[in-house]
Amino acid sequence: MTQRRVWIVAVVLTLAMVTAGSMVTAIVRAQGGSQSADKWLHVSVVSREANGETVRVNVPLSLAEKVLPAINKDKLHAGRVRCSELKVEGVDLRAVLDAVKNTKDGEFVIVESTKENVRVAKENGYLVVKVREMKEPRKAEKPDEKPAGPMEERVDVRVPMTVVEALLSGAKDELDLVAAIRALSAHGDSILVTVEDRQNTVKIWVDSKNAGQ
Amino acid sequence: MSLKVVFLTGTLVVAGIVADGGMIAVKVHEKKPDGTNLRLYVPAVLVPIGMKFAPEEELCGAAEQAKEFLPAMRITAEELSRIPDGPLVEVSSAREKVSIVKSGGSLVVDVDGPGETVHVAVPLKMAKKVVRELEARAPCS
Repeated sequence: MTQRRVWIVAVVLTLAMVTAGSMVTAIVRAQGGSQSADKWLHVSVVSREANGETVRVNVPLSLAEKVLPAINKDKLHAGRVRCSELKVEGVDLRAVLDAVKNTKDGEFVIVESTKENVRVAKENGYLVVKVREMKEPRKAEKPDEKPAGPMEERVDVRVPMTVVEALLSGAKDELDLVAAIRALSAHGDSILVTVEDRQNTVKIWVDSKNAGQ
Repeated sequence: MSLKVVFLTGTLVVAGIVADGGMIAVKVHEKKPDGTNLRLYVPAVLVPIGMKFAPEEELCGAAEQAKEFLPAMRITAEELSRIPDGPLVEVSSAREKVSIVKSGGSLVVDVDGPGETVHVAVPLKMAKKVVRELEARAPCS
């Protein structure tokens, strides 16, 4: 009889532990669910070509924020890029961004021609870049390929100014990538870059979903 | 009676440890008549134990080579453990499909190519332990 009681107690204890374990797991999973509020950076490249590739990348911004400071290589140190080395075709990128940061809303660059329209502006808290380029019809390169008609290539970049400011928040000769990622996380869902040309459609955006469209 | 209890408890403890650590899964299937069809399942808990018995020089060499990237690898494994399950990278073309997915505490890589399919699942918990072990060994004395 005593032995039977011991078994009953053991079974009850086991059931209690299993129930407690299930509850802890449920709580942990629920916390995991709330983590889905983390922001994710998505990159999507869709090729229109017959043998083209589709690439989709989903990166949690928290991962980028924590990993970047751990990478110390070339221009990147402690999540910051040395700005003195960051020049695009001779243009000091930091100086340009700094100028944009300290200017009121408005258009900075407008280029209009028969083939290309470029617009760089600051509006409603965003740095906006629009490029429209008219591409000539393309002859077929292979016998089985159809000739392509004229097409407008589109590039749209829309970056929150808070991100630009965070990028410039470090020392004068550096761009603070980690601060920019933090600012991007704090910002709402937004499409940062879309590029559409004859071969590819590229989209870079930030939202709270862990899977891209 | 007591021997049975000890055996049962021991089995449950071992099963718990193995289940907690997860399994490393490797599957390779060659798409040809006499192609390789490999299926390998290893309890992840064995890897850090195996590292204890690995030649010190070999481990030190590996740790030294990867030293620069170990902190980033550790942080990546830690962060991936924290995030919800979902696709991280998907590449698809007419010839090949590649995907890297976080699923149930593991990083799962699937490649479906014209010649073979490969499936690798690595528990992130194990990856963290391995990286920590390597970090502890670099620099080697």
